[in-house]
Amino acid sequence: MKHLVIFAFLCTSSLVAQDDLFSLLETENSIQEVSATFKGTRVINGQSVELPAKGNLQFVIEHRFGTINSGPYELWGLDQAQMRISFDYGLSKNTAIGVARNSFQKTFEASIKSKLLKQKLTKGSLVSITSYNAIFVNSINWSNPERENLFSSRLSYAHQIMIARKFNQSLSLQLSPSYIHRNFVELDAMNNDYMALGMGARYKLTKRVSLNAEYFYQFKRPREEFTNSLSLGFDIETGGHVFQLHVTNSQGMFESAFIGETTGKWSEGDLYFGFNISRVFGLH
Amino acid sequence: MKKLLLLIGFIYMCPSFAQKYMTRSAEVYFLSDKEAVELVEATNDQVGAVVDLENGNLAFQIQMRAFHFNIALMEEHFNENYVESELYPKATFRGAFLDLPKNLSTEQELLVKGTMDFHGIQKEMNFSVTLSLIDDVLVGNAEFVLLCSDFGIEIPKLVADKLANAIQVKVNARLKKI
Repeated sequence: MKHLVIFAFLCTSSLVAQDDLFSLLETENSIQEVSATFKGTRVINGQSVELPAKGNLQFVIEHRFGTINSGPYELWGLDQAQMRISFDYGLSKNTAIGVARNSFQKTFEASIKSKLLKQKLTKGSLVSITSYNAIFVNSINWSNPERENLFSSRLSYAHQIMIARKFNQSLSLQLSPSYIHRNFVELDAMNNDYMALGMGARYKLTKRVSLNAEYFYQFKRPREEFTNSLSLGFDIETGGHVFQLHVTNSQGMFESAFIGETTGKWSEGDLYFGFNISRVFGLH
Repeated sequence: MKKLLLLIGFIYMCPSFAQKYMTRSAEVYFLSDKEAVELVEATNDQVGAVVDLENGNLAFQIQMRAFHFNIALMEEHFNENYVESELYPKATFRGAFLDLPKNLSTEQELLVKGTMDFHGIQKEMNFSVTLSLIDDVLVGNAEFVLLCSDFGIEIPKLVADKLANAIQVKVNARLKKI
């Protein structure tokens, strides 16, 4: 009889094991990285924490038209444009390199961008961190050919750290401390080095359209007439392409230009309408 | 006393009568209709599956972010715009064989009925599964078609002529006894 009781007791315990099959599958979710903190590798002018995927070549063509306040004769700026063409390639999951040409001061550029940290969905890092380093070479004719002009005077550099967090499906925010060095400045009063803090935001309005904003605060403006860069725009995704349409007070599309040499004033309508169109090609 | 020990030993073998098989590396592959311009295909080889041969119940659990595509942009679009994997991180299927599986030493074709929970929508589904049990490894294969429209996955008009509504799904699982 005693044996039977024990038997009954033990069999009940094996019946409990017959529970829901799902409990067997339940494990801690593997730690996953958030995706698409920003849609593009740029928020508007400035870099975002995103990189082209490994083995992908990203081709971006950008335009900034003339100032909107230039009036009907210039068709509010549409008759003139600055442009930038760039190719970025994802060398690995965490590193991308790029080359570009800007019509602004006929500038060539080369850059390297690295993911240092990725925000995780559940446990782990709360932010994504990416570094960006670029060198710019202007090839514009010397303003003063009589002077002894050195090639090194054409060079400037940008070093940035982008720290971003995707708060939810819709909202991502980014801070980008930036350091610009210019080998040559026109006036003694100008600094060769300057620091700025970039702020970027993305708010997803629909699955394929987001509103973006970006501001670069300069801690010490190199010249009085230079202003802080402020841009507002939309990202529109159409499958293979990302269209970014925006209004900005910066006409230059590379860091040492839009962080340090923005002259447009929002208050006076010195604004440039512009767009970035990016297309990704898989090279496997 | 000897009898008692024997009995306990016997009872402790009891759980092994529960015919449960499990894996965490089943493979789910999907392919959009070949007629469509944009071929969408992806594989997930980290799918969890459990089958209980005693009562014919089975369960699958699929992490959406573990689907991998050849084209990174497609993978991003899949997660961000179609299956919304941050809102709905996993899909599950919970069901049962209509007839209890037997004679699995040769491959059997069996019908499964159950509920697919995918993209926040539950839907009853039936499909057939081939099943065999060789050397304590339960091998199952299934193929069925899902309609994006059944699970609230919108295909924007702009790409409606490029993407198919019907998705062919293939499942291959090798489950081990637990």
